[in-house]
Amino acid sequence: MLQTYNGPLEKIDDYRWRIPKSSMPGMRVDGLVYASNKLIDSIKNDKAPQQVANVATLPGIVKYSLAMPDIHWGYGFSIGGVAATDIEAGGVISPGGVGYDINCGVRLVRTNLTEKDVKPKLKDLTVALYRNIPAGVGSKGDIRVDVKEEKKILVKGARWALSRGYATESDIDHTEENGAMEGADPSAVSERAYERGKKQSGTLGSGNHFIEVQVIDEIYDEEKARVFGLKKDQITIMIHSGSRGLGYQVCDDYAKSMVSTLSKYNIDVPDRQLACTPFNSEEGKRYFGAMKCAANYAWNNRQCLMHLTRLTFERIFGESWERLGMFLVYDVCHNIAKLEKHNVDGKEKLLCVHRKGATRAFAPNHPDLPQDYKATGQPIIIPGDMGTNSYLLTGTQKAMDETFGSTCHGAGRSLSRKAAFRNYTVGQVRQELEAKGISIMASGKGTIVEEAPGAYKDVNEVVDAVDGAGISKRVCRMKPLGVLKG
Amino acid sequence: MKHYEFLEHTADIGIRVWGDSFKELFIHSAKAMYELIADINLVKPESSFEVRVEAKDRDELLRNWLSELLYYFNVKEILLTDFVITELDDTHIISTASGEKIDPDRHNLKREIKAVTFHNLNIKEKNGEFATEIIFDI
Repeated sequence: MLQTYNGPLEKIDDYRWRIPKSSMPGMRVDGLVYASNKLIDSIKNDKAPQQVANVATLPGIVKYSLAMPDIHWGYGFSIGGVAATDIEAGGVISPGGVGYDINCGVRLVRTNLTEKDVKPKLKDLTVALYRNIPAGVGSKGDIRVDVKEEKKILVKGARWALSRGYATESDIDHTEENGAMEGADPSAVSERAYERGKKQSGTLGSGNHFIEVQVIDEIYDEEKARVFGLKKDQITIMIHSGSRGLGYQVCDDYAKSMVSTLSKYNIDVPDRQLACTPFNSEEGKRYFGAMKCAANYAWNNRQCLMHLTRLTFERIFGESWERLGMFLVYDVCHNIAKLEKHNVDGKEKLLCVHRKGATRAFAPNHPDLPQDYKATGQPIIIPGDMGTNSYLLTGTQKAMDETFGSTCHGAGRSLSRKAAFRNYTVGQVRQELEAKGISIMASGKGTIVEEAPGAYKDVNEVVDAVDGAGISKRVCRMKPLGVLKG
Repeated sequence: MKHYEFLEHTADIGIRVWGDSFKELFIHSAKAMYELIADINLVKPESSFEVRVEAKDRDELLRNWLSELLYYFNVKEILLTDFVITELDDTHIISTASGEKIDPDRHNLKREIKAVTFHNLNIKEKNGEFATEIIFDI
């Protein structure tokens, strides 16, 4: 059985629950969990709320230790957590608050195809994606680079792909941070991280990473959908991947070194996986510089995956990707730390915002948004499990006011992988998906079972909760047709 | 006899490992980690590597040693199957690990382990038996 949470969760309103700072010694702020009545029971079923309380002990944390409705038990931080620290007041940065897969994220590509165009070719398309896109355990790609070239990727991010003809200016405009965070420091990345990264550009990886061919089955906001070039019955493609071995190694290197520097800065954490260091310390700056490298690697990786996807569609449909209308709607990351200005008790402060399994959700007119999306607010891409729906949402002023401009990132697991194996077989999951008309290719059989739709919370419930709480708003819903799993 | 069991952990994979000595706990932990990745009884101990690690305490030592062993899989593309420890105390270990190059057709690769986390890693000793939980990020 999973260990459950027995501490306090006080209901504030229909979508917000408080973990008071008095509930555990060392908490500096309250915990605040966004969830509906229905989701809160499943949230109490593991140790995630305890982790929200643990994060509230971090030096410099402001307002709340936040959790989104898709929160589940991680290591150190929960997955679905947001924490912001005041860097002028000794606020910390924590590699565990970003996670191993730095800049794991999602992009949404639109097409001008409809379900009718794709259905007869769906099987061929899924098989072709499987053949053309390296996926699975330790997958290696055709886009191999030497260390000199890899360093360029770490600084230029998706612009490296642009220099190779794998991207367009429009792709870059529609990527969070324009596909590269400034100030990446390749000298802060270990030899070992370079070694892990050099064969993996343009590879999907394994686990929950995927490429999915989808169809829009519901529009909630016609005007915003029009701005994003989306309408009902249109085919979209979602790509979910991250920084691969390079990012994992950056996190591992710094999680290890920050365990050692805890005593230097007199920081006491309830779990070593929360190891952290003042943002403004040498160690903090070095990690931030290395993290940006991994983030940039991930943006380039998703751009390369999109390029390979475009080539595959060109082959199957016999037309150029431009004629197929395969333009990037947006790309978001959901494991990251950012320096952002937010209002804290009436004052604008420069904060280190950790989003681990949480997505940025900036409001309309935010300066960081591309010109064509100023009126809509930032697009937010929420993948569901492979048998249910995915969503496109937009950011709101309420998210700026309450959650440092953040929202959920997906469905969130509800079953452990062990329980998934107890409850499902590969055959069952395949049958269930086929009955829904979903074609699946996966490099590992285990992945199919571990990622069974029943192992996840209902993404519809999660999105209802963030929409109900007002921290993001629905634009449209997609359903899966073809899935390539790592 | 099984020396580890899976734990219920929502996001990642957790195991509980035990051993009749401190040294055995380390060896069973390494075997369990590689069994999560592939069928290690199909792996031949063709090449050997000396692995030395130092740390501040024994919890860190176990995590850092496992992390070092994982490097062979993640970077060198080698699956390890045999582990011999020649020196071990709370802060340092000298070991030899043996295995062979990954052959996806023969080794039945199961999953990628991204990292060994510090979460819940706390080695406890009771009546001469050592045990701990280890959570892997996958």
